Order: sequence, then structure tokens, then C-alpha cells
Amino acid sequence: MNKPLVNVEGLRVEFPSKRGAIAGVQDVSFTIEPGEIVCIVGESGSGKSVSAYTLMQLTKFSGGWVADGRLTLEGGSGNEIDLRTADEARMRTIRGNEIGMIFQEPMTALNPSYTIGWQLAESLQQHRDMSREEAAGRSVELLKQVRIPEPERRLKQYPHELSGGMRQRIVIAMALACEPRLLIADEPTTALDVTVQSEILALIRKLRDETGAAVLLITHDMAVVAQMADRVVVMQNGRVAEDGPVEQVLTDPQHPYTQALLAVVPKLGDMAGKTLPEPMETVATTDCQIDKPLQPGSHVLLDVRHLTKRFPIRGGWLGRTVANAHAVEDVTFRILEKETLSLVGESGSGKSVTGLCILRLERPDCGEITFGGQDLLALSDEDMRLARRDMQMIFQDPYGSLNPHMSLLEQVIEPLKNFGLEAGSALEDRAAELFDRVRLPRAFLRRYPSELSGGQRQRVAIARALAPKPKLIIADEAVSALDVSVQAEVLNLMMELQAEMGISYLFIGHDMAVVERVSHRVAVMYLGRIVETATREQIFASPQHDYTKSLLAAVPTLDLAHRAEKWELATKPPPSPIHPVGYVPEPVHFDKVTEDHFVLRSGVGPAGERKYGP
Amino acid sequence: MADVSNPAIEDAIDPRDERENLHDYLYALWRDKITASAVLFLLALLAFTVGAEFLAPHKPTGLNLADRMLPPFSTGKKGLFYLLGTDELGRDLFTRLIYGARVSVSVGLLGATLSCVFGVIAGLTAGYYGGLYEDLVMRFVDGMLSLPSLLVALFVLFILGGGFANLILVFAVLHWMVFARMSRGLALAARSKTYVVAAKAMGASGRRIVFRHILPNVVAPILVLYTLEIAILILSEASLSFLGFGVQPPDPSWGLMIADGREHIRSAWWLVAFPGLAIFLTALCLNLVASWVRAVTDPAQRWRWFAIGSGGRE
Repeated sequence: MNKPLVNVEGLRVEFPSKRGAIAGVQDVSFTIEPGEIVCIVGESGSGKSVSAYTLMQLTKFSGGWVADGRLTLEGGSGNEIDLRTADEARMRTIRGNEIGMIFQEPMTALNPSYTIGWQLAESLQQHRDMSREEAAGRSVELLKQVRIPEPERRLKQYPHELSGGMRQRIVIAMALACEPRLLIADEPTTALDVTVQSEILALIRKLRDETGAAVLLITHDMAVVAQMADRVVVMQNGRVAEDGPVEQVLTDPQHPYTQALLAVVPKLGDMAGKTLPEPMETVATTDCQIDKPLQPGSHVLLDVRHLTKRFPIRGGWLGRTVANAHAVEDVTFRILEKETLSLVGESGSGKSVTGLCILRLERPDCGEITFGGQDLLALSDEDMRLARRDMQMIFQDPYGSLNPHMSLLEQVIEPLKNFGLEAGSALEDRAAELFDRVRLPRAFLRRYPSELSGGQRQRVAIARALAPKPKLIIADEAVSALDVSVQAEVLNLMMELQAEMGISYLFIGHDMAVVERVSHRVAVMYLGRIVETATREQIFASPQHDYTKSLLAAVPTLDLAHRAEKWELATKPPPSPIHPVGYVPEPVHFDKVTEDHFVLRSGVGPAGERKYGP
Repeated sequence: MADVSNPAIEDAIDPRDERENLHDYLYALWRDKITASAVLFLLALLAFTVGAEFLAPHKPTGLNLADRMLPPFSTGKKGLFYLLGTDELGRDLFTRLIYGARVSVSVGLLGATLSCVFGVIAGLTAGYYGGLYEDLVMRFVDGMLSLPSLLVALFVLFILGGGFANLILVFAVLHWMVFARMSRGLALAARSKTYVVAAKAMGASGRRIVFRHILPNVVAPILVLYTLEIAILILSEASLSFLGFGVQPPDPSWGLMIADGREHIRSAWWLVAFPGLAIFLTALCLNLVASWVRAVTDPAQRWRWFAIGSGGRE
């Protein structure tokens, strides 16, 4: 290795603001050797994406410009390409050709109106002057390379026909199409399920070994770093905090920020032997004040029985129902007062729909929901509206769940107004109180959501949910979109409020390490059914169902010795929850393992896929 | 590339606790020269409309057959100067444009506003509530859209009689459907947004969700349609006035002036060109100003307009 592939020196990128130009990134230097995997890790706003995007001159689309520094790419035959001054025509030959890009969101990175084959062939015909037949042939090769089964058939399919993991593989195949020497992967697995994430990460490593392309991977997740990196660049507030080989950075971090970042990562198994949830470790240790143990009460607050929700799929003439998507199938659980029940599962398992059904934001097809002695499904629409006072919801996406055109004050007092709880100046006092409670400055009440960070927004969402003093909060992936340190703070706040106000939570999530921290009991969902339910301790100590086991096994760890190598794990798509109209699902039978620990007997889950397939 | 901006910009914005004041808005307007000119044009138009009696150089209906069909910038027999020339009866075109603005602009504004209000209410509620109500409203819209509008307008005006008020009423009845269709689509899209679901979870009533939560978020495309509709109405007024059911000559309106000037287009191009230009400029300026207002009132976007430094919107 005589010459690095990419050399970045003293990079400074500026952005406009109300008070003049502001540096988004300053004094950033790093190199990438040929064939090396470099991870840039940092929290949102740390400048990690900006640093990588300047290599492709993509920052200018967001209004930024390179103010200082050198950016060079080794041109293959010893010459150097200056990426800072290269003109647009030159950059077009570099993008896709020399540097390939993998985006975060495989849903939006593919054009929904064209077939996979067309999109793959496009860059081949553009950059490589291939004929249609040659491009088609090469496309098949590429799909084989990213381990997609039945590649010939995939070429004729549209993106929506494929699962998220498959789509991300296609995006990777597109990035590889012109055999780039550098792949930039921006959070390539953040939008994917854990089991799919480990496959994709292993695939990227495998491809690096096969093609020799260097990889610049942007991530917020230390576990991903541990799985992938040869070298790590830790960024904080637009500067490089630490730079070094992965072994050194993970085992012997020098910079306090790196140490803090590693400390807050929740680790699976931390809670072994403890029966009650405990607050997370945070960077600021004074943050959380929970003085009493989180002991649940004995009264049942929410009782859900045989909840079923199917979404009709219409088609053919006159839009008749041709099939049903079985989103939630015969789900039964109960939540005690002051208890946290976690509903875990991957996307499409029906856990969010279950939450929406409880608030009757989706109307269940059948089942019973009793909340505080009240039969929710029997209420009129107006009574249901009033009943929502005692059950609030926090949504996954803090960017989407706040109305962009309403000030935070208006948003926080919204439930108070709707339920007629306060009026006049009492409204503002209460809002200020709530902001104190979630530790946001009162001055923020005049702001709009776009002026806040993700963590701050989620605090607003919590303040809003707390406003009517509810008994139950349904937290639908409430911390999934947040940085780890912020995630810990928000979770601790939720636990603190539980201790103080006696709130019950239905915690919907997919991150097993987080779930282990916060829950009293856990229910695992797969394909619309609960496959296993038990106390937190039992689920993590002795998982019984195959799906629970695979979920736990897929959680990436900081352990460098256990880098995932199972890149051929699940090539077949998960079984479909769509069934013809007259379909009667198998009845649910639970085997009792111990007191409080039940496992679904009938054939659902990875082991029983045959029975559920089309 | 949708997400390229977010991490970067979040870093770059210095979140503010103080809101922009009038001075900030004026400064932002000053830096955006094109929008500033549009605002000036509209202000001038307003001034001329209100103060036509004082500002117009001639009488709008003052015949002067000696000075017929003079081209722009000409001086008549009695030494009168005609900035934009004269028409076939020797009336000053500039004066008639100023007086015509009164009719045209108010017909356009009032007609578009009325139809916008009806249409948006019908469309948003239909899109949000759905079901039978939506079917009824939207089928009614389809039915109305399939009527030949000019014919209906003629028929109704024939029965009710022409004149300013009836004209606006007819326009509202015949033009609200476009707004209804568009806002129904917008409401459908907004209905599944998380903040709307969240509002429902917080106990907001249907009406509150539609007008307090959905409406402010869909104003942008409606504003654009609204400004286009003003221009369309100004032209529709022309055809109706031409057929004798709108504004009655010799009162001027831009549309009527175009209609009258058509006969002489070969010999006197200015008779058509200037009223046409007036309609075009008015619509364009309304459009520019509307899009600027939309941008500076959008909490997520407005920082760009107040940002200082190159690389912003220049």
C-alpha cells in the first residue's frame, strides 16, 4: 500500500445561516487505502455525511460549499484527481464509475416506475457503452454477485415487488455495476430489520474481499462499526474526535467522546438476573432521578383478547376484495398498572397495527379490548375520542409526528384543548411545566419543529403525550430514530415518568438490547401473531421459539471476535401474510413453558414457513 | 438524495428563539429582487385601481375621433400625449387599462376567492372523511366539470341578468370544482401522515384535524392554483363581456379591451398587446408573490430566505 486511494486534508464545509456562513465540518482529515473499510461514526449533526458527500461534490445540493482543504482521489494510474475542483462533467464520470454510492433508504433510492433490469442496465449503458444484451447479461452477473436468487426473474420485477433486504441488495448491485474503486455506504442498514442488517453487512464485507473496492461506511451505530470496520473515524460536532484501527478504538478509546459513545451502547445481556427494568447509562450521569424500583401494580389496565385486523386487498373489476393481508391475527395480552410490556418483532409483524387498534385509530375486525374496565370497541366515535385522554401515543418518527406548521406551544396544548382540560392562560403555564418535565427550555415553546433536533422533537412528543395525564402510553418505536446517547436519555425519562406518575407502557420496538432494559414483560410477534410471551428475564435467558432465538442471535454486538459471516442466511423472502378471502388461519395454541412463559405451538416462524407459504 | 441536506443543515442552522420581525421580512424581500419587483408591480396596480380618477391622464370614455388608432408614444392633434396609444374611438389606452384593472382584478380576485373557499372546504372534508360523503361530493364535482361552462354561464346570466355580482357568483359556481378535486387529493395524502394520526390520538375532532392540522400543510399548492385561477377568470370575464353578459361597454375591462381590439389586430397591435400584457404580468406577479409568501411562512424552509452567506438562494 504505497498510496492512499482517497486523501482528505483539512476539509472545511460551510453552510449559510441567518448569522452568516457556519462551518458544518472543519479541519477534517482522513485517508482511505485501497480495499479498506473505513467507518465514519458519529451522531446526527456530527458532519459524518457531509464529509463523505463532499467526495462526490454532493454537498452543494444542500446549499453547502467546500471552504478549505484538499480532496484527492488516486486516479488508477498514479495520477491524482482533485475532487474539490473537478468540474461537473468530470464528476459525472467519477460518480458511479469510480465512486459508487449506497443510500440509506432502499425504498426511495430505486425508481418505482422502472424495472430492476432497466435501472441496472442504465448505468452500464451510460458509463460502459454496453449494448442492451450485454447490459442484461452483466446485470444477471451482478445480481448473482449480491446473492439474489432467481436473478433472471428479478430483472423483470419492479422495486415494490421485493422485500427491503432484497432492494438494498439491488442498490448495492447498482453501486457495483461499474466496478468502482470506492463504495460510499450511507447508513446502509439503518432502515432494515436486524436479521436483514447482519446479512447486508456481511455481504458488503464479502464484496470488498471479492472486488477489492474500498468502502467508506457512514453509521451512527457502534455495533455496525465493530462488525465492519478496518479503521474508524469518530466525528463529533463537525470535527474528527478520534481516528484509528478498529481494535484500538473499540478496546482502548483515547478520546472522552469515543469512550462515552461506547459506554451508552446498550448491550444484550446487561440485565441478566434482574427482574425489574433499570435506567440506561448515559453520558450525563446526573440526568436520571429514579429513586424507587419500577414495581408494577396488580390491577389489569389493558386487556386485549383475540385481536384480529385484516386489510382487504382489492382488485379486478368493481374493486372487490380479492385477498386479505393478515396484519394482526388472534393476539391476546394484558398490561398491568405501572407495567411495561414490550411488543417486539420486525417490520410487517403487526406490532404497530396492534398499537393503532388499541387506540382505535384502526378499527379491529374482531376481538375485545378492555381498558380500565371499559369495552373500547363498543364505544361511539365521540366516546372513543374522549377515552383517548387516558391513552396516548408516541410515534416512531419525531420528524413526521409533529405538525410542521404549528408552534411547539400549540402542539403541546393540543390535547388539553381537545379534551377541554384547561383554558386561557392556564394552558401556557401547563405547557411550560411539561417542557420543564421533559427538560426542554421554555423558550423553545415559540419554536417550530424544524428548528429542533430529533431528540428534542421526541421530547416534545413525550410532553404532548403526558399533557392529559394518561394511564397508558403506547410508544411505537419511540426511540428507534434517535442517536444512542439521546435514546438513553429519552428512555430514562420515560422510566422516570413511570416511577413518578405510575404510567403503563406498551413499548413497541425491535432493538432487543433496549427492550431488555425497559420491559417487565415481552411479547414477540411474527407475521401478525404473538409467538412467545414471558417475563423479560425468561425471554432473554431461555428463549423457546425459533424466531425469538433468531432475533436474539441477529443483534450485532461490539464483540470483534464474532463478526457475522452468515451472508447466505435468508435468501428466500419471508412468508407472505396475504391469504385468499376464505382462508381460515390455524388456531393458536400456546405451550406453557413455566408460569408466565408461553410459546406458540402451531407452525409459524422460520421453522414452520412451509405451512404459511402461498 | 433526499436526505443529503438534513444532517448538514441541522448542523448549520443556528436555531433561533426570536422570531423574524417586519424588518427581516423586508430585508429578505429586498435580496430577492424578482419577487420585490413583483410586489412593487402589484402595489402600483393597487394604487392605480384605487386612485384611478387622480392618476389616469385622460377620461376613460372620452371620445376623440381625431386621435383614432394612434400607436404608443404618440402625440395627438391637440398636443395630447398618449403613452400606450389610442383605440378605434380615440380613447387613451393607458387610461382604459387603469380603469379596466378595477373590473378585471376584482372579478378575478373575488371569483377565485369564492370558488377557492367552497372548493377547498368540500375537497378537504371529502378527502378526510371519505365514504359515502366523499362519493357524493366527488361525483357531483365530476358532473359539474362535464358541463360546458361557458354555455351554463350564458344561460344563468341570461336568467339572472348580467352585471358584476352575478358574474362573480357564476364564476364561483363554475370554478370551485378544480379546487375541490385538488384539495381532496391533498387531504387523502395528508390523512395518512403521522402528525394527522397523532392529532387524532390526541383527541382532535374531525373538523379540527381538517382545518387546523391538514389545511396549513396543503396551502402551498392551493395558493398556486389560486393565482392561476385569477388569470383564468380575468380571461373568462372577457369572453362573457364580449358576448354581452358581463361588463357593459363603454365601461372598460381588460378582457373586453382584448375582445374589442381583436378586429384591429393587423393595424393596431397595441390594442390587444397591452391588455394581454397586463393580464400576464398580474398573474405572474401574483404567482411569484404567492410562492414567496409560501416559502417564508413555511417553518422548515424560511431560514433559507433569512440566511446570510453565499450558497443560499441567490
